[in-house]
Amino acid sequence: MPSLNRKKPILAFFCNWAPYRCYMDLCRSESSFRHLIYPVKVMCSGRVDPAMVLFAFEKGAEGVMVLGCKDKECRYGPGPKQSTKIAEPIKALIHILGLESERFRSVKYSFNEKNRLLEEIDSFAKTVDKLKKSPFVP
Amino acid sequence: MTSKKGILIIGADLQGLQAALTLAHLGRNVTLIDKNIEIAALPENWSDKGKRWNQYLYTQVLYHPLIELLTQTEMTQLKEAGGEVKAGLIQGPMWVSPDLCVDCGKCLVSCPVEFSNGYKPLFELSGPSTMTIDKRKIAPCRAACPIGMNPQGYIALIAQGRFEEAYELIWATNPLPGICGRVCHHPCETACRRQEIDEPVAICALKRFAVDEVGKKKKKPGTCDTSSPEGPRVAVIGSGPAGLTAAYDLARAGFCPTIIEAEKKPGGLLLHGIAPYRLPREIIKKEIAQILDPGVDLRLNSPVNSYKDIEKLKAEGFRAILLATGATKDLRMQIKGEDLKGIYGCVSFLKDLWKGKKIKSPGRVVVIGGGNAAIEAARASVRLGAKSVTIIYRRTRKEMPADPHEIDQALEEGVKLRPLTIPVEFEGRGDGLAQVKCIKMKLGDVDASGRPRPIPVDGSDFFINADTAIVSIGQKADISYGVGGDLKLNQRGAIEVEADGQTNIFGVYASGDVVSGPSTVVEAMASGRRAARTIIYALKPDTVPDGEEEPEFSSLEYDPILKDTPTKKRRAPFHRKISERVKDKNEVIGSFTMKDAINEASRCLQCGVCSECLRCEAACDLNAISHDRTAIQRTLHFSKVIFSDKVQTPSKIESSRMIRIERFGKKDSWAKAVVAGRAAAVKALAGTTPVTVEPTFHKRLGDGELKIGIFICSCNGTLNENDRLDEMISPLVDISGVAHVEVLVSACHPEKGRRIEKLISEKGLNGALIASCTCCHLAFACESCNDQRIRLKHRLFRESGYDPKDIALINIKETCLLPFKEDDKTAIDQSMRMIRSGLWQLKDSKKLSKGSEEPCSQAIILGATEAGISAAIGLKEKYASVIIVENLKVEKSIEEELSKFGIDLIRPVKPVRLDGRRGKFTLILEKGDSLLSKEKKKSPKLSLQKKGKRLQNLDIKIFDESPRYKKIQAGIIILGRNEFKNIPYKRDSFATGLHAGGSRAFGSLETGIPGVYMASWSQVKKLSDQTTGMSAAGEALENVSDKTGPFGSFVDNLVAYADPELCRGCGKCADICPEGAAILEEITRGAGLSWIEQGLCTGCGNCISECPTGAISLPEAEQWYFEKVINAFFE
Amino acid sequence: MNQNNILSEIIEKFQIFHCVECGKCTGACPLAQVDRDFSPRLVAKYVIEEGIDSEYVKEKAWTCLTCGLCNERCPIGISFTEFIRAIRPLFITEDFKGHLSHGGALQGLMRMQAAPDLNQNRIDWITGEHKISSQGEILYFTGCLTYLETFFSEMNLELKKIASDTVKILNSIGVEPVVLPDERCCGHDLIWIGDEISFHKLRSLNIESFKKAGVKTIITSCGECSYTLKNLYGQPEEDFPFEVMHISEYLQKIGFSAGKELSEIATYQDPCRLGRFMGVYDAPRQLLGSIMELREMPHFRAGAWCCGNSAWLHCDRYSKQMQVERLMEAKGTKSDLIVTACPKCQVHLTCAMNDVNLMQDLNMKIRDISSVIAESIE
Repeated sequence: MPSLNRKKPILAFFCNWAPYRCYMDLCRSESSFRHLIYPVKVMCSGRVDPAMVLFAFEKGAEGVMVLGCKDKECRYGPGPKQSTKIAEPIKALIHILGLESERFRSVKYSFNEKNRLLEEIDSFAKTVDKLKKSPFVP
Repeated sequence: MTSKKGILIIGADLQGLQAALTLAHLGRNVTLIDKNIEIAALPENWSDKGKRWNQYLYTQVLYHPLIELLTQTEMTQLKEAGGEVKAGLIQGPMWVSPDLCVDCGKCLVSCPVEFSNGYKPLFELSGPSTMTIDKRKIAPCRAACPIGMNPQGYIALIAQGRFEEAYELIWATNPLPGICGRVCHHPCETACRRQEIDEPVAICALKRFAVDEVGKKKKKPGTCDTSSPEGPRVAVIGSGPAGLTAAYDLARAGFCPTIIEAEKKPGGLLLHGIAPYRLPREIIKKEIAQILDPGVDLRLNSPVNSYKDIEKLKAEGFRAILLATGATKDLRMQIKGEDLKGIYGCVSFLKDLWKGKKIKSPGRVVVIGGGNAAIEAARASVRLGAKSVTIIYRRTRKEMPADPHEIDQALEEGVKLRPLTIPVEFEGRGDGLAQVKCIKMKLGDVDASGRPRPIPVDGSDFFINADTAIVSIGQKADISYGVGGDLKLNQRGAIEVEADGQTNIFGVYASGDVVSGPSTVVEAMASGRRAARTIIYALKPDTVPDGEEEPEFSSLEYDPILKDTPTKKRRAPFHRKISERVKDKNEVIGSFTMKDAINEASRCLQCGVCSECLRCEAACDLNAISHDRTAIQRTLHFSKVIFSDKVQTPSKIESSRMIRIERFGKKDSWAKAVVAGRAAAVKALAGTTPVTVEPTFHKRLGDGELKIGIFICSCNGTLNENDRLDEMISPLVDISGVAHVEVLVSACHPEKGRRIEKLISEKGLNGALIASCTCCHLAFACESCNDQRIRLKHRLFRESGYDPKDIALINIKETCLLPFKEDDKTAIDQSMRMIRSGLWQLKDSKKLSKGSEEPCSQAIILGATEAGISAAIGLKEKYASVIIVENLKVEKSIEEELSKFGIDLIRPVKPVRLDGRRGKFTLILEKGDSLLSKEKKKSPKLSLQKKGKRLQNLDIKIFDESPRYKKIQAGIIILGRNEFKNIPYKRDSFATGLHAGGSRAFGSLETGIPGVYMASWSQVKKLSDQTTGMSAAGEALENVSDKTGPFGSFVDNLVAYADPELCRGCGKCADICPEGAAILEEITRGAGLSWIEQGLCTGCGNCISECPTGAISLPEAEQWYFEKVINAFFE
Repeated sequence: MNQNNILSEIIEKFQIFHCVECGKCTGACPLAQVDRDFSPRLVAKYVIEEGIDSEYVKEKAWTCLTCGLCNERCPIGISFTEFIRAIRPLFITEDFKGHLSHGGALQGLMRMQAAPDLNQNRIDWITGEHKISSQGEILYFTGCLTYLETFFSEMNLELKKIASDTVKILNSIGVEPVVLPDERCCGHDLIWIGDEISFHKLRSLNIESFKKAGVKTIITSCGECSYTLKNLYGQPEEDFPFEVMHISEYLQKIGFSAGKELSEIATYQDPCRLGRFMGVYDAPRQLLGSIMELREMPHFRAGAWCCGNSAWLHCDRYSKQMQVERLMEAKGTKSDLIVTACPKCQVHLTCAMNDVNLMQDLNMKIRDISSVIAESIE
């Protein structure tokens, strides 16, 4: 079976808690999860800073996702707020660089939302698929 | 009296899990039992938060070394004596061992049973994450089979077209399957529940199909053990079904049986009593050959005529002699004219016939009797060219013991049936038979045999003309060899045995018709099997397990038959045309076609759900599944017992050793459950002492240049089809620093995983990367963990004792191999990227640590309320000094009670200010006037600033200088009364975060300031103040107690560190840190210095993304680490 | 050639052997005032004695501010900062290449601009009131203003306004400058962190676009851009046939007369690159002096203190201390605002004002020279 995004890899920063669990559930479930995701695990989505996202783009990611816990469900506290805070500047920066701001998405999950995660990844992959090749892909 | 015995918690629901965890954090051994098999699942009406917390607690409980979790376990008795509680526990049979199951799903694939809605007897649980089996009562067909065959199992396999496996399953219990498939009277079909819908499943014909189909190409399944030449020798006299079965069973048990047969050919009544068109001779020959080969000896032409022969056999060295000589002597009518020519006993008639003796045309034939033998004789007569054949039977057709199917076939072939008729005299012409005088019968009441008694009708005599009469009213055993010995016989002339086949003579056993009188093939086989078992046990007592010999069956009822189940016609195999079949000896009935067999098999209702076909056992290489497991009963001793909310408690609950978790509302009350569970745990603490916990990580693999071993788990081979994982080995070996790469069967399996340990020491590795389903090497369990992942962590870090610094764990199962199961190339490519990225874990884990700082051993409670006092009592378990501060009046009785517990009370004082952080608080109290002497009363008083304005240094000086104020230190603070939450906190702000149940923890009473707890919580209205107070104390104790991680229990080993050279002192870290672990101090003008309190840091890394200078480092959260990981993906 | 040989050549080239170990450099070095361990003299000493293996040089090569104060004081005339720039590529190791601020995000943004097929949206500040052209002799090189304003959006700096104001000034004197929509970063920060490869990529891309637009004169509003284009873009194998000027230089050259006087009192922060590296001290002072009262801080012109950081490298405790000291000097002049000619000075000094303890004492308005001039001609 050909994978959907073989040539358009998406890098996803997963918060260790709810989103990663959704991701695990999703990969384990029988629903045909066929997206090429490069998962990078962080303890909290608040750790992800613009440098990491930009680095991923620089290295050739066609899309970058930051998946965090929902606002009041963060194990640590500040994570969701922090990841929201960086989302806008990142979008603006990649826009200036000439990348479509749709290439970056920051989404929040509860631990049992594997279906929502699937939808989100599906739609993100579709969005990225439609865009032309990123100038940073070698 | 204090006790180190463990604490029993009954009910692993949310509150039970929490109680167990609290106790374990405080160093108590806990046994947590639950009668359910799945405990991580919660009712739908619970909120996501509650479910999540339940799952989280479950993984924590699994991970904690002090907790023993027993699912499927019930308490049978509870007795309090001698300062302890004695509890009887029974754990249901664990057919799938949660300790061994790796959840690979192989068994699921192997299971042949599948219902129309897709339901399978095997399914996956979410917690514990293992497989489980839905077993019901033993299926009726199987229960009805005398030799314990498993029709449901082989039918399920046939339905899936898995004929060879069906064949093997049939062979496992039946050494004569081809024979049984043709002549068995199939009590299974009689029992079949399908007939409630339409007709029973054609079980017998399906068995025959499988044997015919596979038997064509295959001899005997390899699963049969054979005898060893050294085994005890047993003589089996008689080669009928009983003797053959016994010999087969004995050979399989490692015995050396010898069959002794009087005739020229083996087979006994199979050969002599059953017609070749029903049972072709080559089938008999083949199946006997399969029994004989190898390991069973056969002596033909060796009649045992007298008891001396038996003694000779004993002298020859046979340690047991089994008499299975059958019932071969025809019974006589005992009526006039019975010696006339043309009158035959049925068995001798058939025996002569099938032996090949020429019999001339029998003319008109009368067969007397209604059994299978009578039908056999009638049909044989047809084939001999009889003019007519009439069967006389004294009852009606309905009562005839012969197989209805056989009767039908006989009638089809022209045999007439005269029911309700009995011969009274044979009349001859010369010495030959001419006619049979009969009288008619009518049916009376039911007799002892359960059938209506036939009663002669007076004056109903009539004659039937006949040239031949075959008397088939039964047989008896020919026990001439018994003469001369003292073999005891019963009234019927059969050998008397105990139920298990033992005769009255030592070493001599009997089975089959010689014991029971004439019966059926399968019953004779069953009898032979019983006798063999007796012999095996007598000669090799250790081969049969003690106690329960039969595996334990479930007592769960079958699923009811749904009314809308569609009917499906029972299929019949091909029958040859009557005109043709009567002309020869060839078989009348054919075998099913493959299509018919599958269709017929699909009619089975799968009553037992699990068919116990044992394919799953065979599929599981890890021995996780065993259908033979039985329930385990244990009696254990505990110091305390905690009953969770849902458990029925015994009446004597008021004992101090029995604690009940306080009840709370049913709907969505997870927060209350957590609070109540924790409170019960604190209550149970009194009188128990903690056990010492061994340090978990003690083995460093050494520093220096990395010599890495990579271990790739194939999850019991399920991820390694076509050896695809092996492709990764050579490119990985080429990476510098990698010394060894290997694909493992299963990393989390207790036995298989030991290979990692072996290789690490053999190859002198100082780093190991395990690519499996486990996603991190941190010393905690999170919601993504499951039994397998936790088990691997246990193995590596607790059992082997490796330091997480030296081990990297990455998940390739879920992230690469499962999603791309059908796309090998992507799966391997992605796995390689993951593994390469994982190698950086090893290079970055050197800093993993958990620092420690001794917290202040004094605790302060603000407010002598009921909640506050409860909290104080709870805290007294751990804290040397517990102080209650109160500005209101306190009753004398309460004061007395407090002093009894050793709790200090300071009053009247008013808390005015709080400084510091968890573990090191400073509380400033303003003394009430009654505590001050006259002149001191004039001392300056602080006027509290408005909210938001910071205190000037000048103001703070008052605290040190004025006698009005008193400073006390505390590790933790508990607010006994909610008003105290307005106490000013920190240099420049008033605490606004003081609310319990904040977002960080679930069911937590900790406020926004870590280390400050609330003893009563308005949101938990249904819980008493006593419970909330205790719970607050429990949470506080938990947070400071565990030796393996000060302040944080077994939470984690990720701790941030701020480099003083790089820190700009901007304070952003301190602003974002939720734990107050990042602390900013000014060192010179313009430059501050942040430092991170190691014990408070939870390793979230938010401070790093805030820090503009890169001063903060945290293992596996550093910029360079992520750069390397991202690089590895895009390489 | 091995690393040590390259190092020897560099030592030779920058005449480090001539160091007389007088220590004047250390005495002048603002970093050495706060980091007692740092000394340009010792760097020179150890690089000669221990070569590439010197731990001291490895560390200090990266912490040096490269402000150039030492160059001014050196009696021998050693260009220490250029020497540092030359040796940094040699001291990049796998696990240490200097501590990049903000996780290296800014250098990342610059590196990414080296991708050839870029289609940036960097000139969104251009509105109807700006007159620009796509071909012409005069080019306005905007630099990283758009990126920096977005990246530091939390600080509310009006950096894009500098570009807007510069164009407005040029328009006011009848110049309709070329503004390239796909201008690349000048590469200043990259070459100063030792990433020569990316620098050269950016350089070639920029030169190509300059040529395409038919440019003869390049005007910048950033000291670093001016310095980089003027001093580092010319290469032995490929000439750089453009005149590069900071906007202040240009205005001075054409005899720009400012508009109305402003009431505020200003103090001028000399950017290292514009001042010491290019010797442009008078032009901004004249321009400012003609429209407002200008007061000097104790350290000014060639002796001016650095804003504390360069190339987004080692923005540490010492940077902060220097920045606070510099802000204190500015406060001490009792001026209303600090005017600088480099957007990075603005970023650094504004950041330092957020000190938790000294917040009130440091707060001061800070503006770019272009914005001040633009205000005067409104």
